[in-house]
Amino acid sequence: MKKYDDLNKFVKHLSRFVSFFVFLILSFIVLYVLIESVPFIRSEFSRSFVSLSWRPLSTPPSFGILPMLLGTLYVAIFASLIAFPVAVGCAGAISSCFTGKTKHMLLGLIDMLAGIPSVVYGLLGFYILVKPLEKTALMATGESILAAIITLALMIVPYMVSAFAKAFERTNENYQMSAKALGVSQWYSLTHLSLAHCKLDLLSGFLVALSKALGETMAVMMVIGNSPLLPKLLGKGITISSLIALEMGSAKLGSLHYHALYTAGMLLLVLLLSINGLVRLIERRAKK
Amino acid sequence: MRRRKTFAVHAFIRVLSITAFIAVLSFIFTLFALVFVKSRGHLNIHFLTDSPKGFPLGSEGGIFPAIMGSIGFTWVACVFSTFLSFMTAVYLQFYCSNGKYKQLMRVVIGMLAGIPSIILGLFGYSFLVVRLGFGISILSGGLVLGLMVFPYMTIRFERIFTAIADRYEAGSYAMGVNTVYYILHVVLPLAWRDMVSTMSFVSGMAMGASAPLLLTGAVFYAKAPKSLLSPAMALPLHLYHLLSESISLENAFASAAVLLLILILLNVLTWLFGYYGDEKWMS
Amino acid sequence: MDVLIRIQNLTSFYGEKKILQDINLDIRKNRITSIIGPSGGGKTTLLMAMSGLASTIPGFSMTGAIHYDEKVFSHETIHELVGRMAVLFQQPFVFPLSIDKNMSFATRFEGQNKRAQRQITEDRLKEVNLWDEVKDDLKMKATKLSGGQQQRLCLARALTMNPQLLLLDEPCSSLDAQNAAIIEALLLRLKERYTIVFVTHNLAQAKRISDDVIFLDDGQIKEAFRYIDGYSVSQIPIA
Repeated sequence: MKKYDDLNKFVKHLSRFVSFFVFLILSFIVLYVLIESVPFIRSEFSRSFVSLSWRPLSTPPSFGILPMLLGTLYVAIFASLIAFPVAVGCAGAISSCFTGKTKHMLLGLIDMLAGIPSVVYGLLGFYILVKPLEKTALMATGESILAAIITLALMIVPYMVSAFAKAFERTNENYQMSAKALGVSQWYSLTHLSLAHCKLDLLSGFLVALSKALGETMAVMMVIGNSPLLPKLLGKGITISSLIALEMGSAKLGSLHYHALYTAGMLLLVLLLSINGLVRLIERRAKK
Repeated sequence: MRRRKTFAVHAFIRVLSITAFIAVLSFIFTLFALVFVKSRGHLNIHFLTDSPKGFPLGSEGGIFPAIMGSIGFTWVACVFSTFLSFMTAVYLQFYCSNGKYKQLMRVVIGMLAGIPSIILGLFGYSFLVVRLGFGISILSGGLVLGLMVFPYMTIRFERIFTAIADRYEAGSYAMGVNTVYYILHVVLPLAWRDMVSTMSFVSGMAMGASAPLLLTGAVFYAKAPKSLLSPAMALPLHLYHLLSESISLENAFASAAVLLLILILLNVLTWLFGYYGDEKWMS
Repeated sequence: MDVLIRIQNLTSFYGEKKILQDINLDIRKNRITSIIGPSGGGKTTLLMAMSGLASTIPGFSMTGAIHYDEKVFSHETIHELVGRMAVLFQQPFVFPLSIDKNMSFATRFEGQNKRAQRQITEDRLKEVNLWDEVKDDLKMKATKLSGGQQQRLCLARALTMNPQLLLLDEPCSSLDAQNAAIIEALLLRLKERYTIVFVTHNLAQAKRISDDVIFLDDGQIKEAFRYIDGYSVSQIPIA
């Protein structure tokens, strides 16, 4: 009927037009961050980017991003490494010990954990870790790299558990019957079958959580101390995202400080997009 | 004779798993218990309806403007994201015949999902706040949040549409109807519940996000927002502010409690509309 | 001899894989033609090609032609066949909507007004012997009907398109013997107004109700029979 023919044409063109915006958005984001980084990269101080000293307001200013980069990597990698076995264990327990409705409910509970905002984790990290750490004689204030690692680990466990549980489920569906028929316990089949079968899923889950940890701002910012020092377990530190979050407000629009912060953002962006690309490659290999 | 070696490995895994499970479960319990116990006494109706008061600001009074601000930001994000995601998913699923374009789109959407929220904030500041002149506002903050959540929404919408197509597409076209008719009379009636549930899930994500708002929408003190272009407070950022400036630990917990309650509410809504359940049209 | 649809030298592929090989077939008007054969022989593909739905399957390509409605359809134009004939699948796919919404699906698209829709609904449901069973509760969700009723509903719904040709892909395979018998009796009656092609793996069923039987295996027509006077069988030459 004519009415539907016209409507069809309209919807087709409208949706095509709007979907094109997705490309535009990605390009714009990358472009704008890049554009705002250029003035710093071209400036005489761009060399200082690879130094250890971040003094944006002194004369001459220095914009060493290394402490932040190292802080970001240190915190994220260790947090992921700690969270990994916990998540594997938890996912293994859920998929091996529970069935049907209970399993569904537990996974829903984990998903809810994943939905808790990072500020709440930061608050918890502060209360549970920072305050008590202050009381021990080990450090002056509780804010530290250690607190950040643990807080971040707590935060990414739910994501990993949910991804791993799904992977174990798939193995279970396919092989549980046969494994049972051979007379082995579910722990045995978990260890020797699921873990091996899901290797690639475990890796990609780890990398996805790592990339979340690298990009995380708030939770880390609240417990890390935010000093531009090289990361030491019990010392204060800073990550690239916290740096940007804290200093953007006070950096004058158009100043070198402002552009240096965008350059730092560019660095983080490149880092994360690379890891995401890696995950995609792994997933493609997993499909074969 | 006991074979000790093989016994050890999976027994170890078993111990590890059970420990991990108990640890995670206790953490969940501790989290909620802590937040709600520490905010006891401070979480009352006044807290929800008053503006921040006291000296320093926020140590007394309430968080009403922050609640309103968060609702404003989330609402803009949801509307923007739903429109963009729906159109994109519709095009990719029903109208796009070019396989390469589809694949490219999926890669782009995946990349967008991987951009850290603080970078989105940087973009939002440079483009929306400064270049387009929206200023620090609900509009800027909401749009940035929308950008943050829209990849997840698009992927979810596509999955919903694919599940429906697997079952009903061939037969519907065999009856001679065209695409938009199929969308209006088959897809939408079957999908609307899951779509609403996705919207509520995504709203939960947006409401808890703080990094993008830092640079684009939220301020530390403002009245409840009057228009799209006014700056506003946001719940998660208010929490952060209360803590980092050492204004009030109790109020920080109380704000966290409010945030968690809103999120639980949204989670219930999501579940009610079927996000966590099985596809109903399959039966 | 009246031929409704003629298939000429049809060879079809999914990607590189050849499914149908040089099929030549005439479907007679107002007759029941059944296509039988082992799984994977290409029966469903043939049906999909005849209905034009094959064009919606990614990777499909074909050579040869289909003559229908005084037009010739080839690879480029086969999608134009979609929507011109009734198609039924193995699983009844009623929409999880009310019975009358299911029935008015196609007529509404054509722009019929509400009264015409209701009349058509009633007529078609009567034609498949479902009217008496559901007339008191047309608002009921169609998925609550039994399998056999759902399949008849699908048939009634397809008939609202006023097709000349009914293509049925193993319509009874998900039904019990009693419901299958009901459908078979129905097809025999519908033969007067429509031309019917159906795929089945049940040889006995084919013998019971068909006028022409095509045996398809490995993508080729291996044998073809015609029942004359309801009894005698003669082989149809395969071109």
